[in-house]
Amino acid sequence: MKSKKDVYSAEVAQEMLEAEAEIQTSEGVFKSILTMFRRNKAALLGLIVIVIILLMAFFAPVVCRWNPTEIRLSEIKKGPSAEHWFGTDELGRDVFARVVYGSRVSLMIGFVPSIISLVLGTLLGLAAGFLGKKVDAVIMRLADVVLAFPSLLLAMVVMYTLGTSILNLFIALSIIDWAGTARIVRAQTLSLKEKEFVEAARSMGVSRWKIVFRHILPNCLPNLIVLFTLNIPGSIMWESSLSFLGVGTQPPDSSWGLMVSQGKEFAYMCPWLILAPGLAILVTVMAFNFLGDGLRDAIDPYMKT
Amino acid sequence: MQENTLLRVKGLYTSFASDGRKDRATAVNGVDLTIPRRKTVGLVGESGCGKSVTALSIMGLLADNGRVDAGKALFNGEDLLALSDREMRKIRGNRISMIFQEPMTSLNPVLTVGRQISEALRLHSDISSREAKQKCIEILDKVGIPEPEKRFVCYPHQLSGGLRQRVMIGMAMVLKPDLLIADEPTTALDVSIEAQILRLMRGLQEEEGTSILMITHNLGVVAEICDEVYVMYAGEVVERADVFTLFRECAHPYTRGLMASLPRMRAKGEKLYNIRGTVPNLRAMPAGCRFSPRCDFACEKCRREKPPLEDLGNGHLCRCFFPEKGGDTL
Repeated sequence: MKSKKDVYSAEVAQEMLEAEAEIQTSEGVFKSILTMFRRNKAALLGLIVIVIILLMAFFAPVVCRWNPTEIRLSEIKKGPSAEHWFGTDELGRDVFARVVYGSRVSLMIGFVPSIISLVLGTLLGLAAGFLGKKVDAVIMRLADVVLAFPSLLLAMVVMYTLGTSILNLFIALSIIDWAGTARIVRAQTLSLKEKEFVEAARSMGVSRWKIVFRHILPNCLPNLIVLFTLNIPGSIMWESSLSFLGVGTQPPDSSWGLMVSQGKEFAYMCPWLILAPGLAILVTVMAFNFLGDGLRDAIDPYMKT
Repeated sequence: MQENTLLRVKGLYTSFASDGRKDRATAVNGVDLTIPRRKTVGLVGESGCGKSVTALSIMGLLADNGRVDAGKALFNGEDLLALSDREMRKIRGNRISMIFQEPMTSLNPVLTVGRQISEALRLHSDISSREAKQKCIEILDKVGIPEPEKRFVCYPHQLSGGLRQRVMIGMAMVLKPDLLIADEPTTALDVSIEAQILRLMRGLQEEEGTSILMITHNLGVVAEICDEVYVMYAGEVVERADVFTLFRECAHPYTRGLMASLPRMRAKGEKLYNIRGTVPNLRAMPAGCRFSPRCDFACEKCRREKPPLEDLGNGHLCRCFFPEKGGDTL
């Protein structure tokens, strides 16, 4: 009998070449995301802006010369100057400092509900998609109810019922956001669970729960990252709207939305009072949207191949 | 004889429910199957004849709407069909493993090859991740994957189809199972890779003493690798013979039709034979012999009575009233 080595050697040599060439041309998920940043300037810009905003929020005391809560009646409603970049408000507080410190609240409200709704939506979506039948029906009807209800109204009802506080704001925004995530995860789970690799995993004796968390969930992750980046600006917007309507952040805490709301009385005389926080919202939301869109473009074609 | 039998399937009936219908479609209708140790048994038939469903029934991997209605699958004397899901999980991947048709989709695209093999390993044996990695690299080497250390951290899309099928085989063989069920393992590969994969499977079989159940519709694969062959038609076994007998003197008109529809090197320019008609609907099987509507030799009796699976000698079984042992091919 021929030895094993003999039998394989020729084909091995041929395949080695083949595989070698492939390794050089193929891309991993992270590499494809890097390539995306190189090609998609808007996404790169978004990322840079987000990093700057995060740094500013984190190092607010270093960035600001003024204390955002210090009231100086001699400096009331001054326009932008070298001293006060974004001017001062009706109590003589430095608007730039207030925008920078306000970003802490706004960003927190961007991130926390997005994380909560991401986890909640993912778990419920996985359960609905994988378990099917009654579990699916119950979860999806619940999601339908949330989606069918005007989100702003729903959030306002929650805020009025529970009272206005940051924690309740998190709850209200999470309630709005989980349904969309759950639907997307459910749809992906439905298609993934019929894939051959799931059957192959079952044929290896992998249990149902391990299949869900080790085989199906990682396949949903790229989409979840995108969803997460797009949920953050959503939450920031919702918070701004709620604060504007008076059921969001409450003084002495300050967020961008609240600043716009408070500044609207003086909008004609001192437009910087609403322009500064308004621009901050605009820039942040756009930066996250650019990043999210870029990520989606980078990840989607990867998932299709 | 008994010690030589690894798996004995007796009277397997499997049916499927479909939406909005009360009657179930019986996809496997009383199949008997015996797999000896260290042998390769082929299960041949056209699409939809129940060969994959037979395998999935044995593995307990039927889709939610499928159900085994009757039958036994004695694996080392233990009835697999009576085991709980938990007990069955311990056997899957460990004592019986399976490889699938599409190497492109049978590996999880977001997990590295190494993680997928070591998952199988660590599921069934209590070893550290380092030992698992060592074993994975050994098995990758064994299935002929060059530079296994490098491949260990590769994602499936970085490998070619042939390499991926090797990974699948490695994954299935890493725990040295007693039985390997291969569901059309080479259908998605081109012929040169197919030959390599079959050679690899035979090599591993010789080394590990694994039995193989080879499900295929490719008679070339059967000739290449199988010791014994079961031919299935419409959910029933219509012929069983060792591979030499089957190719030399198949007796059932269906098998003979299959043989005759193979392209031949010498017969140039002739039209290929084809079996007329199509497979009958699972819910509307003809009375009597299920092949009778398509059979060139069917008579009144065939359409009325169902022929039994009769022994023509030497374990050559045939479900036909008029088996033509060694008759002319069509």
